[in-house]
Amino acid sequence: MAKDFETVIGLEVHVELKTKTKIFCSCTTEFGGEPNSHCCPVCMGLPGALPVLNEEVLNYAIKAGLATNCKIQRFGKQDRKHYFYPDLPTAYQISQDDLPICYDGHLDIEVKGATKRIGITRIHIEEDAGKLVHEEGVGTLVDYNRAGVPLIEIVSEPDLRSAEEVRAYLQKLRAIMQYIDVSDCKMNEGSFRCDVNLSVREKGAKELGTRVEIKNLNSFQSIARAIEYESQRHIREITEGGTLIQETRGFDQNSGKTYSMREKEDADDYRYMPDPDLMPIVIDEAWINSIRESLPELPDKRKAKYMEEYGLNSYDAEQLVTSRELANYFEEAAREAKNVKTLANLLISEIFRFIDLEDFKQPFPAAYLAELVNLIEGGNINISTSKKIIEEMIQSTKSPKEIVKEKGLEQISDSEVIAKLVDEAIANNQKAVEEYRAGKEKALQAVVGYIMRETRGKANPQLVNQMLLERVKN
Amino acid sequence: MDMRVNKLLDLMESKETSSEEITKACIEKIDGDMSINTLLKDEALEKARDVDNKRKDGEKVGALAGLPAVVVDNISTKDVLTTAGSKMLENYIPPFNATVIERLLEEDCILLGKVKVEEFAYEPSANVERVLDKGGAAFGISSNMVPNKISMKPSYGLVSRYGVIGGTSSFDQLVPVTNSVKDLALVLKVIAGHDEKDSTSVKREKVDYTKALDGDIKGLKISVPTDLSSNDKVKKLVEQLTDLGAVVKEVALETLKYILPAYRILSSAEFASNMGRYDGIKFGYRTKDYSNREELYKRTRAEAFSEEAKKRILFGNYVISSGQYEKYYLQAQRVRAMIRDEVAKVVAEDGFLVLPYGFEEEFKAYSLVSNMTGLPAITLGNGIQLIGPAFKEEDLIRLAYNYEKAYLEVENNG
Repeated sequence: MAKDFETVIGLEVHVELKTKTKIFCSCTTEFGGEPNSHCCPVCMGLPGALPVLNEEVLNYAIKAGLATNCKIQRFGKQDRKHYFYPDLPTAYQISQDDLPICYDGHLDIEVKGATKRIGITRIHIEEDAGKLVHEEGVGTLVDYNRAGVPLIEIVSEPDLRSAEEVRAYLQKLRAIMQYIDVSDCKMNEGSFRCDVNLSVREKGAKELGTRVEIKNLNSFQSIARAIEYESQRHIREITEGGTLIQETRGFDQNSGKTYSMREKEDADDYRYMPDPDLMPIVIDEAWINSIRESLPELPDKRKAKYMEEYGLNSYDAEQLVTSRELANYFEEAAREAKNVKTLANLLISEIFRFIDLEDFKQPFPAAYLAELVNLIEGGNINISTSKKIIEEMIQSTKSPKEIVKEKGLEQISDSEVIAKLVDEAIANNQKAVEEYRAGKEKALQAVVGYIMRETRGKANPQLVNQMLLERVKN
Repeated sequence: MDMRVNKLLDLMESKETSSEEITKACIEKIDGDMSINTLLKDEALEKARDVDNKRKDGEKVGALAGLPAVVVDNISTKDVLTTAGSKMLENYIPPFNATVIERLLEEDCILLGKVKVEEFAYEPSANVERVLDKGGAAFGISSNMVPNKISMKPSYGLVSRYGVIGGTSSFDQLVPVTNSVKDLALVLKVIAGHDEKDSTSVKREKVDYTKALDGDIKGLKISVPTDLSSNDKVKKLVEQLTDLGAVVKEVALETLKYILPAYRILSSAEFASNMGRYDGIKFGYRTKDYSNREELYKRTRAEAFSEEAKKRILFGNYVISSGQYEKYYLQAQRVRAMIRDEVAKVVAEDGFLVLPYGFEEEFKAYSLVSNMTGLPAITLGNGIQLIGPAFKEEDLIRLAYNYEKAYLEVENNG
């Protein structure tokens, strides 16, 4: 009998904070720029230059902690994490070792109709490194623009069990970071990065399997693919009696495979020590409370509101809160729409496929969306016409009403016109009508289809059904 | 020439001499001296003439206007070679000034030259004392106190460390070295005070240390470790201070015997960490012979650090490596806190602590007390130091001034 396996996943997410200036100096944090143009003696690590903590970084970190139900450290410190690499100017990254700003939190995700709580071990502050640029014929150059950009690292408990859960967790986490406005969370610009710690064990086993860390994951899709691939690889190794080693692996987007980067056997010793150039971090109750009071409405609160006020189901509501912009858009349309459930359905099943949910931008004004819902509710158009109108709205800047008028898409609800159409349809589809009368209920669909074709989808479907049934039954 | 700062300022004010003359005289004394790394002859003379012109035109001048000063070569000076005594920085020209340099220049001080230090100023040096002895500058800024001049290690955090190329962050504190206590008070007044570029710099109100000179020291408490009470220099100083009205108490200091091992562990750890940036990538020395990154690091560091520095780096990395950290680094931190607590208690309750000061091995532990505790200390030019409570520099200056008036004035004038 085939054994059942379970994948155990924990995540380390690096979120670049959108403070105006870097963590230890007053250089801008702006993305890009001429190489080494956003630099100064401090972020270049020049001899004698000293770091001074940007207090805004603490505000953001505390915000992130409170928004993920963490406890906040009252007395913290910053530590040097030592390693040599050319993008790290001082050969140590100022990070936090044993006293992270936030610890012991959690967030809830929605997977397969159930809510699951994922633990957050800790959130600490640290500085980003610069980056290496390989230039043909010149060699490797270093750009320190990113060096010293503030990051928070959010470490989860190994509570995740599938790519689907990971995706839900990341979406939720990203949504929260965007809601509280601490980061742009752009994966393509590296302001939201994720490392995956993964192991596989037999279901029910207490011990964890051999753990690998997967890096270089730059989209939700890569993360999901890497997890799928890596789980399968582990299962294969285990069932075929192969060996797994603790290592760091990269993910190759082209092949969809992970590959070994380095073994963990010569376990890195970062030789953490408190940074003697920085003072301890002291956070008092008043500070925490003032941040708590400034927190905006978070995704879970909005979700609950949508379920309660609009009667949406948990899954749909979760979909709508994945980004603050999307939720704002939905709420703006909801204020004008006559039926919010119809609105939610349209958004999720018709509009989502046209937009990039990872970087939501409104496809057309929310007022137009509400107008469209109201046209449906008022019987002016039917659902199938609304799909055509949405396609048109995405292409143009026209309002639904304009499109309806221009293209003559208004629903035919005049019972005299419908009656005529029904008669004509019956006359032209005698065979189907007879089949129906003989007990084959489905046969009538052909007659309805005929009417819809003739009216290019504009006939009021309820009215058509109702009148057709009256006629064929008599 | 009487090189005391206050005398020189008086002479320049009364136009009996000029900054140019003083600066020229200083240059003659130390041009080519082995203590000097960089002598800014032309720049200093040009600046001196500027200050002279300002005075002539009756313009307002700064508190140190026209005074030639030297600073140690581990203090960053914009556009001026700053080697920190290391081959690693043999060609390093900083693009910025240390805060202390900015403060001196704001007061129209003449930056005359950079004084040699030991590699990254890890070991103390008497070079600033030597320059002053030769009459080569009106005062100096050193990285350590000197036994035979008036010098002060201010409380940790009083003087900005920004731009000071230090190996040992939590021990480093710049030291003004002068020919008189009055000079010291003036120089300290200029360089002390909060700097937003240095997180460890304390936020306190600016103090005018020149106002601390007045008043006697009758009834002032001083303390002497029991085992030092028969030391000749200590005995003499205690007698002299007693004559001025001070009250002496013998104290037992239990923790001083732990200073050297604790210092070695903590300072080496900080040194090892601070030296990481010297990797040949961005500035300073780079080996000529490498074919990959690993070799670039290894050879650069192998070629440019001294044997001593390498030992400290290895030892420092060892004491913070996983498995050793708790045993050595953390334990040494606890010991340091014990030492600080004990000494701070003594100086607060029993009075200013009298200890020998010198570069000899036998005095090393004593000479490290103020570094270890962050407490202020002053040397009186006689191989002795007095340690006071944190940020009580004014009291130390008053005590030293009384002592100087009674026992040193003659020597200075002679």
